[in-house]
Amino acid sequence: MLNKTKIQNNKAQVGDTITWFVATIAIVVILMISIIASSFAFPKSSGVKAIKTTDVLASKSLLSYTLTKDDGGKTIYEQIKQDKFFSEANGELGQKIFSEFYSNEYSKVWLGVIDNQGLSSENNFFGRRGFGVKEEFSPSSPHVSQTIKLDEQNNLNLMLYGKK
Amino acid sequence: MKNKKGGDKIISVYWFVILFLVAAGISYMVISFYGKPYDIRELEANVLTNRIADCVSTNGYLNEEILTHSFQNSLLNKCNLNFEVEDAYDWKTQEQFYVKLEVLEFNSKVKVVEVSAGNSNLKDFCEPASKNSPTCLNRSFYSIDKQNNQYQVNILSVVRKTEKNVK
Repeated sequence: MLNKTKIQNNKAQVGDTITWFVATIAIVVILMISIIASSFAFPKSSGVKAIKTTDVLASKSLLSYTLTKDDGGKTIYEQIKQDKFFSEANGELGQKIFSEFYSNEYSKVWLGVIDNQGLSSENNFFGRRGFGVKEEFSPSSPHVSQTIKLDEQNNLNLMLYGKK
Repeated sequence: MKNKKGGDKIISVYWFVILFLVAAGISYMVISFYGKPYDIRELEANVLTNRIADCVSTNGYLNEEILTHSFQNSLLNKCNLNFEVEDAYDWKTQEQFYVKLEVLEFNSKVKVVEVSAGNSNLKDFCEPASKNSPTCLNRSFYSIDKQNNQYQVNILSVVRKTEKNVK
């Protein structure tokens, strides 16, 4: 009778030990996975990066650009407002300013006239405005967009997309 | 009954082992995430650049005062800036900031103004950039004066503060 009880107790002990042994291994494995996953999810970054949606220097450049007068004394703002496209001299000046200063910092630089809806405008100096609504409003694709109103329908838009 | 007690003891050892394992794992994850300082020097350099730009050009026009000697002799005062830092790591004796402002004629690239403030030694460590070197930010913008003269404004901002931002 006594021997039978001992055998039963031993069985219970072995059962508990196996349970805890498996539980320990499971916990160690889960911990290891968590640690490895967290080290991949948060890579060692070089610094804090802010999502940039404004660029003070680019907006200053754009404002000064629109205030620049041509040989006839007319500002670039007035010329674009009237014609809705760049004159040769104004387009070249825009290209010189924005491509020279900002193409090192951003992967795409575009300047041109857009209407209130339009996202598919193009001109001879900056080409087609190849940014979609998804890119413009997605926080994961940071961009800088500066707009100066020309009239009720049209705006002059500087788009700097994709911080290098 | 005695065997049951023995089994409990073995289980309580497992409990402690698991407790320490979990605690060690959580500690490791927290330390690996929060153990390093945030490097905010690039943001600081950006703020410094923006403040200088605001001082140099307002409403699209170049502040013509920057062409005068009084401005060039007191860039920080004129732009309402100071390079005071906390009294740590001997920073009080070694300035942690440097800023250089250049104004060039836009077409000819002839230098009209060059003015700087802060620790000029810092700019020598900008290239080659490494983890322990100061953060350098070199940016440009376009401006005009009231006479429609066109200018290129270059601003170099350097922030050191390596001890608090890099580990």
